[in-house]
Amino acid sequence: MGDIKRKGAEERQLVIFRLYGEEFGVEITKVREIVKPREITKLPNVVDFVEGVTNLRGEVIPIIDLKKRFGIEATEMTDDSRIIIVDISDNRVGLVVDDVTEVLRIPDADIDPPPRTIAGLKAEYIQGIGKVGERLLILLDVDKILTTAEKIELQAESLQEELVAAAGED
Amino acid sequence: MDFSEYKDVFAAEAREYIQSLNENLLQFEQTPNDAELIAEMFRAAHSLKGMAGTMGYTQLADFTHHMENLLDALRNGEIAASAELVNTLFDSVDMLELIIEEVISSDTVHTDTAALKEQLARILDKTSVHAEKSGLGMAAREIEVGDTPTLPLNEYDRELIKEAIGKGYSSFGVTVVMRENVLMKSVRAYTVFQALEKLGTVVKSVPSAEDIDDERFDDYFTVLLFTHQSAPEVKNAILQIPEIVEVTITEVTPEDGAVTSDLGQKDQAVGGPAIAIRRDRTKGNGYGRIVEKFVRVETERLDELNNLVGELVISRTQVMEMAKNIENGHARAAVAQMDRVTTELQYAAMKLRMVPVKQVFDRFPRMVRDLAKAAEKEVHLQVVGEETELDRSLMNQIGDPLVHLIRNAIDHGLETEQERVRQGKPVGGKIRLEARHEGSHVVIEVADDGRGIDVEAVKAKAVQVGLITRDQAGKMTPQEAQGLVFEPGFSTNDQVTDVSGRGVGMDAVKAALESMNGSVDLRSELGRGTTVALRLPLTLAIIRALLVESGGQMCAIPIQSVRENLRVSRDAIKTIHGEQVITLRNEVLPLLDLAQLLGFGVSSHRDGLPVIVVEAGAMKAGLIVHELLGQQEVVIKSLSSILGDVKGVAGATVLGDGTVALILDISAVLNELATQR
Repeated sequence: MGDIKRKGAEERQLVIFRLYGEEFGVEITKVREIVKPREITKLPNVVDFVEGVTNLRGEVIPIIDLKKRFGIEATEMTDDSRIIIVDISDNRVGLVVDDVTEVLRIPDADIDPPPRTIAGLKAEYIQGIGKVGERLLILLDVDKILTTAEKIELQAESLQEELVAAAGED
Repeated sequence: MDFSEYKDVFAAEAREYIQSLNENLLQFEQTPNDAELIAEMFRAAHSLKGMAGTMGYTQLADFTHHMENLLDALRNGEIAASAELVNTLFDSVDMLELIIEEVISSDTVHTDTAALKEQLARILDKTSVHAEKSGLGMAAREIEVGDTPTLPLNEYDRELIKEAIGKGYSSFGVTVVMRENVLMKSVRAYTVFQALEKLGTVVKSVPSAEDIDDERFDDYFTVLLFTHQSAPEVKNAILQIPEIVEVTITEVTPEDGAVTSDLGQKDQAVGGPAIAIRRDRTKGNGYGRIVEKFVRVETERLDELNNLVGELVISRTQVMEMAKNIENGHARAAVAQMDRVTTELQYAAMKLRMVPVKQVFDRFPRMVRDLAKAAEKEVHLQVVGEETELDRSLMNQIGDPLVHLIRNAIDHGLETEQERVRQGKPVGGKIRLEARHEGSHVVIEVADDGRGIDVEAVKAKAVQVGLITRDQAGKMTPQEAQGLVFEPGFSTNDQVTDVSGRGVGMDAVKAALESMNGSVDLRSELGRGTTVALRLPLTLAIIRALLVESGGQMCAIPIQSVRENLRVSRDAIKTIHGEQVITLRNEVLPLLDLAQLLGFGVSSHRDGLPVIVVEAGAMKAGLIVHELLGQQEVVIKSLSSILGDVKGVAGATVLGDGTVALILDISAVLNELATQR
């Protein structure tokens, strides 16, 4: 978090994906692969954002709907929908997102530390806010998001506004 | 120095020493004059001390030192064995085990060992006064070393020195002096040796490494060191070690030193005992033990291998399916060959997970001794088949049920000594712990020659607690009645179980076995004894399961939980208290929709519904499924730990077509249901 903004020419590679129109990023080092929606076996007695499990080359992997994790409506699977397979704390997990747009290199200098909270998303779940021209990207700390039991309620409507405001403070 | 990477090795070896101490101590209690046993225990304590010292666990080393002192005095005949001594040693081994686990988990000792150390010292003091007077104390054993440290060299050493110097090494005689009266000299010396080995090669030492190990030296020793380092560098490195007060370094040339012509181990040099080449050290302690037949492998690696083999087995099934239509004879032969090799590979990989039940059985002699003492009964434990192998993961789970059964056998199964005499039985009760293979199962039996189960008492108790009616009790066969002890709620009252001869927590034993896909069987004869047999699958990795479809999902029900499959017509379903039931051979079974139970929606209630009758613990129910797909071997994969404990699901498996099927934990499913009501 705090160490993200370092002087020099260091940069990071991010996988950029969309949730309700907003752009988010996750560090490419965490990402194992990106797959198309596939058959998911439901699980009984689990929290609602756990969609179930799927078979990825013989491995049984839990699938999580990120939008549901953020307390918003369930994802409608479309042709654009993707599952980002990430490795977090020794676990492989699939994250359902609306679309994966690109892989970007962003210099550390263009990443701002997160504001204390943004649209209901606490700073501890965010690694920073990346600026690419006019675009503002929220760099998610997926480890924290998936390992905490805390309820997260993202206010999607005010997200863009707060993002711009937060970026403007810098 | 950082030893953390050796910690696993330390942990494994320390546990082995504890086990060996326990075994020898039990034997020692029976044959207190066996010098070999005492020597063995002394060596174990000594090695533990050395290991603890090297790892920097000073409190552990210190405690072991006290124990070692007592064992040493015992070994030298300075003190004699007594009940107090034996019990104190047992307590000490327990304490050791406790603090070893403490250092393993947290690197420090939290438990206060002072009282026990005092006790050890007191026994030593009390009994060794006499020995001291007769001059049998420690001092008598010490070998005198000349005042000036000399390094006797033989021809062989001189050759080595020549060669070393030729290769550009410096050849130093290093004399290390420790603080006077320092505790644990050999451990300090060991640390010095370790440090020296980092700097170069220790060729020999005076006194010999073995003597140093056994603390047969004054406060100093001399070694011959070949090194690339300079003398001051060596000196500084050694002085870093606590309790070292002086280090003298002299250059040694082939012409130096007392010369002997003897090339062998026996040295006739004046002023120095035996010459020992460095590698001799490995004889006396736990380090560097050469293990040729075995390798220690991380369990995760084994699991990974087993997982991959599991994958292969699934792929094999797919290939075999496709190969059915192949006409080409060569291709068919190749597929058949692959099938055979895969099966063998699966078997070989499975065998890697197997460990002898000895690992669990080993703790019981000690436990039986303690329990027998507490119950004031004479108990003889007979262990049979401890080499029988069982899946490692099962091994971890089988311990508790066995403890339970053995405790039951001693506390409730065996009669008091007076009662046994009255019955004309030998005073000492017998408990037999036996493991053996039976087909694809391992059977572990706990048998006693005690009073056996009083069927009438069991029935009376069952009626009293409301498990059965008086009528039912009358109709029960003795076997059925004995089975009542497994019912939850049967044995809440210990007094009554004393009468019936069995029963405390038998429901827990049964549940534990079922969770391992095993079963429990009980045979008992009044007045003759009871045998409880635990049946376990050879491995947990692959199970037979009944595949069903429910709510659009594939589910696998472990075959152990399945009693039978039915087709139920709609009229056969009745409603009692708002719940659906069916009657099966005069038994009323609750009928449940599996899909609904798992939250996957509701199954359509068509006629001739497939119903699986499942049983777990004391609960039995019919599960409505959408479709029955048959039996299959499935490879169990655990669910990601990120999901936590998913109630009702024991794991998942990947089917031949790639879909994931949930392996149901019927016991949890039914329990969940019972608590909901």
